[in-house]
Amino acid sequence: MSENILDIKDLRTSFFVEGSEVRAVDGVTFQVPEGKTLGIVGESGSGKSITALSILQLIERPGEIVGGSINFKGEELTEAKNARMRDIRGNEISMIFQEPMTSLNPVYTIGQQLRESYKIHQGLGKKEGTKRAIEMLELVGIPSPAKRVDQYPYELSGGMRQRVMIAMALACRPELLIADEPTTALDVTIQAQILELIKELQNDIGMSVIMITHDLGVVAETCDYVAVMYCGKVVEYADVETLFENPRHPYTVGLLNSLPRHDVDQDELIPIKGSVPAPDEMPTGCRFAPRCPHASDICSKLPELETQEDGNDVRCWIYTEEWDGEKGVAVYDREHTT
Amino acid sequence: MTTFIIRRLLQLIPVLLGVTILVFSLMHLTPGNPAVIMAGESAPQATVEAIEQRLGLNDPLHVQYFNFLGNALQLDFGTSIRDNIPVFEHIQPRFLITLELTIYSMIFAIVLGLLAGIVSAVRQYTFSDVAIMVVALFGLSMPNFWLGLMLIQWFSINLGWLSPTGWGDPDQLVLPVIALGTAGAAIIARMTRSSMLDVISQDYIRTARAKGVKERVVIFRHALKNAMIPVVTVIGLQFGYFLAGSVLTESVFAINGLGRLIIDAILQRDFPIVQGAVLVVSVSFVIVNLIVDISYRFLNKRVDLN
Amino acid sequence: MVVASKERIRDTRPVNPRVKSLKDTFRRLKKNKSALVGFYVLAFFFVVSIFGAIDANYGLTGISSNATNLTSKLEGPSGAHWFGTDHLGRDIFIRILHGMYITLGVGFAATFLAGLVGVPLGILAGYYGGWFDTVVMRLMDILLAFPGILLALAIVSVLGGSTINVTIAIAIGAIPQFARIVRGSTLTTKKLEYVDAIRALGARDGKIIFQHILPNIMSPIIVNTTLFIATAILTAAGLSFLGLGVQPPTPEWGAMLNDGRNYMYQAGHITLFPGMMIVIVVLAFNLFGDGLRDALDPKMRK
Repeated sequence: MSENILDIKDLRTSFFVEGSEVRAVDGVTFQVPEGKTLGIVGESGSGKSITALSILQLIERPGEIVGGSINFKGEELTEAKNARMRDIRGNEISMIFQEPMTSLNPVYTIGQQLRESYKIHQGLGKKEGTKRAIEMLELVGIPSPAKRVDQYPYELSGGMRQRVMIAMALACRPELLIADEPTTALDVTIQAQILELIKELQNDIGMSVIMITHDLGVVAETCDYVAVMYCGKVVEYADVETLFENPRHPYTVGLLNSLPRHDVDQDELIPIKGSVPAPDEMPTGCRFAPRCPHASDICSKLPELETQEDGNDVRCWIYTEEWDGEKGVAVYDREHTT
Repeated sequence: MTTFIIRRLLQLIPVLLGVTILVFSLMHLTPGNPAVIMAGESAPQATVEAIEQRLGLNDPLHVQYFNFLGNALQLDFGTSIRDNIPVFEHIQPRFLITLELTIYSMIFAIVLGLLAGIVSAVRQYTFSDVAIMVVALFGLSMPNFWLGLMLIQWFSINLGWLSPTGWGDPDQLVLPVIALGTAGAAIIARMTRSSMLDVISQDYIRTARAKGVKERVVIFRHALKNAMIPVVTVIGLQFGYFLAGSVLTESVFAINGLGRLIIDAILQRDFPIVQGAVLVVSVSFVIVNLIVDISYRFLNKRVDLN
Repeated sequence: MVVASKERIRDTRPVNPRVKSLKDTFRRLKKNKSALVGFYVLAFFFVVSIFGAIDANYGLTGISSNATNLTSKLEGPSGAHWFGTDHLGRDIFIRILHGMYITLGVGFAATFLAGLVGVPLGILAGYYGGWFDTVVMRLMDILLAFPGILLALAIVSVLGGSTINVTIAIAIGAIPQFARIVRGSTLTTKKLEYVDAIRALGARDGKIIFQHILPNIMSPIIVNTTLFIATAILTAAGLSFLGLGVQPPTPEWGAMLNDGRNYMYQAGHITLFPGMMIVIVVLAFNLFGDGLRDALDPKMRK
């Protein structure tokens, strides 16, 4: 197994609102192997984006990282000084966001915003910066980049803006790119182009990627490893083949069952019962237990994320000695989806 | 953009016509014969007739208005009833003083208001934020003439630091500028704060931080320029309030500006001067608003289409 | 991918969106401490001003606000004269007390008059649009071309200074503010789906305006009214301070400041107390108005 460029252990990020603590990220653990793509999957509110912002130390009041470790190439980011973090941001670790329409500053030209990265991290002046900005725009497939560089965001379409965001993120050839739902806000045809672009550039630059998404289709297409998140916790971490062939966690199974498939006959998609619990109604045991078709008595206690024989992790009592429910339960039946 | 400016200029015409009609009517809405009022109740008939003659008060109203309008376009507002000196000659030097007072006060209000608003927004809910907003609320609620009186009481009478009256020397400028500018500073500070808070929570600010931009640069380069867009409109309106408010400030500090000219003219029933001065102030206000409108449109063009 | 369906099935009947109940407003208003302070101060002053008005006109206390006493003029605050005396030996506390209803009265009356004209103009302009809208809004533009105190000054210069004339002058200046805000809100309300639906059901204009538009635009009207009273009080005091408003010896606070300015070297308290009272009253209206705005419509914050 290759080196991990990022190693997150028991990360906890909470928001403190009106005297109560909302645990948005509640003990997240995962690794990003160098040069690979890790997908983080989960419903909205599962803590995916907060995890991403925590990595870059961009959590703002009333939010706060309250515990855990974020190890980036041997460096502990939770203890890094502000100046060091600014060095890392946009240079060693970059991020692109979900909303291309609002993620660019409306009062500055594309060129001004791209040049800023070169100025901060490489000390380039206006002329050299513009040259590099144009090169970068060309690289991300923006037609007539020399003209676009002087335009304002409002003059560009959503897909073009996301390309600009990618250009900005990749300007300094980062070692890790965090893409937070980069295609959610875009048209379907544009989505595929953007994903393709990120993959190509990843090969060119040789960077690692964290792909945050709620779309398992995107995961299948782009990721090597997947962390499935539910209510601020990783419930399953697996390589992408295993995840699709042999998903372990009932939540992962639920996600797969609700996905249209081409390889088996399906009469209907099966949605997961119930809905994500509100922060003040969070179960103390397994967070998924109230919606889980296999839940048993022991699920009122919180299971640990445990490594299985194939090296993948799952947080579920079914795979432990203590399991007190039906023995040999078929969590996933790929021929006859239950 | 050019079409917008032209359309905006065309819209100005009815407004300016309306303003001149209103100002023209001032004299004619007065109960009684304006000539008698100007001359004084006890004035001889000949004086009254002379005034009627000079102001053309015996012509039909529309003829009088078009004469008034035609002359006003050439900056001819007639002559003062009191000393026969052309109104324009009365107004010009006084207007420059008022303009000076207004501009200095604007600078004071903008600098103080922006700084206070930014600090308040960046330190939201801290002691400095609360303190600034409390002070701003007081500033907003204080009559500028009373603030002027209090400043004179403390800094001129009690401490003897600054001159209580007049205009021109540096020690005469400080107090009137503070008196006139404080309310505007308070309004600008409140507006800047809410606008900054709005902008700071925008996605593109997060983008800037994710690029590794320093917090200071995030605030001043990325946030402020966007936050200024609504503030510009408020600043434009403040200019008008300052021009008009200078009437009170000038009265407090005995500054011989346009405001005092208006007050004296009203008390002396010197209508041509009142008309000329009111017209000059409102036309300046309309023009400044036009400029603000155009620059707002220019600044907002990029944002609006999102 | 399953995303819990949060969309509710739409009721087909047209629903007035102003279900945001009065209770809810009060709850938010009560949570806003500064608004509460403003409200209590205003309530207190309101009661005091009624007492002051009765005392001024019927002499309950037997102390006249205009009783001059040249043997005790320009005296500082003391047990006998809480706020001291002015250049004619008149008790400043009593004068402030007796003048309170004038200050509050002019503020309320001017704002009420302005609303009485401005609100219907704004509704009709916004609702009917077309040439009427154009004409009304151009007229408002003309009035708005005279900034701040200037229009009131010009009107008073024609009408002459008196309590009523000051009220009228300030009211005329405030009409455009009401008309503009009301027109804007009317336009927004008119575009709401349910208004279309009601019209489609055959409701008449009058019914739509009174039953559906007016309730929806009450929030901005109430907030604007509260905040404008503060401005009106400041303008009235300014006019009287210039000697163009309420005439002496009426104990109007601005006029009292005008009296006191000539004695600042000997007796600073004459200008101190009336001004402080103006600040407190205006501050209370601003606090309450800000709170109302937050409580009635958090989106309106500006």
